[in-house]
Amino acid sequence: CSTLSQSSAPAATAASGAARQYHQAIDVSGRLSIRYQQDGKEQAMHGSFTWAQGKQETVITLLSPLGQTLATINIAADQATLKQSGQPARSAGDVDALTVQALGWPLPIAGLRDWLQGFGQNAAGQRFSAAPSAAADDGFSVTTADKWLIQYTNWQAQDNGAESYPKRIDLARNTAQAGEVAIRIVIDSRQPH
Amino acid sequence: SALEQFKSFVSSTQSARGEFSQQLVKIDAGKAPKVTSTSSGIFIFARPGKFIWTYQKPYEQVLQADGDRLYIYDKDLNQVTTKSLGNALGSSPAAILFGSNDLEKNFILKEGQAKDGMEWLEATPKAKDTTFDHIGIGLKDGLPHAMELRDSFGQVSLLTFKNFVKNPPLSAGQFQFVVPKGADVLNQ
Repeated sequence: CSTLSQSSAPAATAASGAARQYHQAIDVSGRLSIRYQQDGKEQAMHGSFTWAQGKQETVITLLSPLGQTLATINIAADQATLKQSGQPARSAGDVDALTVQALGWPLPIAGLRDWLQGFGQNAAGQRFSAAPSAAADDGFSVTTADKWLIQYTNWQAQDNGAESYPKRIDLARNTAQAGEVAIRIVIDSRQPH
Repeated sequence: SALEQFKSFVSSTQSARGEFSQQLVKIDAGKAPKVTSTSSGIFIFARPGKFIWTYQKPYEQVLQADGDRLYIYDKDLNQVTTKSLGNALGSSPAAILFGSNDLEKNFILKEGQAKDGMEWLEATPKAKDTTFDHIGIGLKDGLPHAMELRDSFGQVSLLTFKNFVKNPPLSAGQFQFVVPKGADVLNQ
């Protein structure tokens, strides 16, 4: 599985405003829904999330629609720990493997470190920087190095003139553990620091 | 007492509607409580198991139960997730307001401290696998004005209610869910 890639800021893109910078440390919150299969049955999960990404540690919280914490995932340099209410904490070196084992569906956290901000590595191994394209109505789509199809379907303009950032991100992939997985993410707030 | 007020509320309220505001507060030992999100909206319910809980701000999201199935619609995600209600209400906070009224089946009820001008009822879920540990219901003049939901991660959800109308007139299809045009439906 992909390790936590430290990415450099990509080249400037001409699309609009100042080039969007990659932030190593950023807080993001929003909502997400996941569709996946579990022992042949269609499953769906809907909730919200907070994503506190720092240089040394990233803390992700998954919440129910009414705001109850369902799980927290702490990712340090070499170890990830996942806690669910009423269950003992689980730890593993690979956060993606840990998540699918505990939750039953894959949340590509390693990849999302870049994708949430509209960056990443495409199937050919090149860095991509997603940008709202006036032409295609479904925005920017790319297949990543680890076979996730990502579609940036809408964007959030920033009032300080900086380049807009992704507002809705759709992810899809056929996975061994959970069959056809479709994740939709909407970003409500974003605070680089 | 809070228990008397709650029992009279439950027995005299077949349905109700009103407005709510919600604050999620993270309480970490040694740190000041931090409000992590604020939202508001409207609700309407009819016992047992029929309700529409609509978040209007900061985004549009509807949690609706027609007595048989639970629907969650999120406008930005353009998606409806639906599953059978079954005992999904069971020991969730929704059960307190919208569930059937034999609350003692799923909760241990006891009198709490009066505060903020309300008498408080403490409800602790009997089932251990719920996502939260403790519920407080603040009552005044026989109506719930606030609810405190504490989950096992130290996060508290504070709900306050306004314009609480008891037993309002309800239309025939009041709780029937209609899939918004163009929204994708995920059945579970």
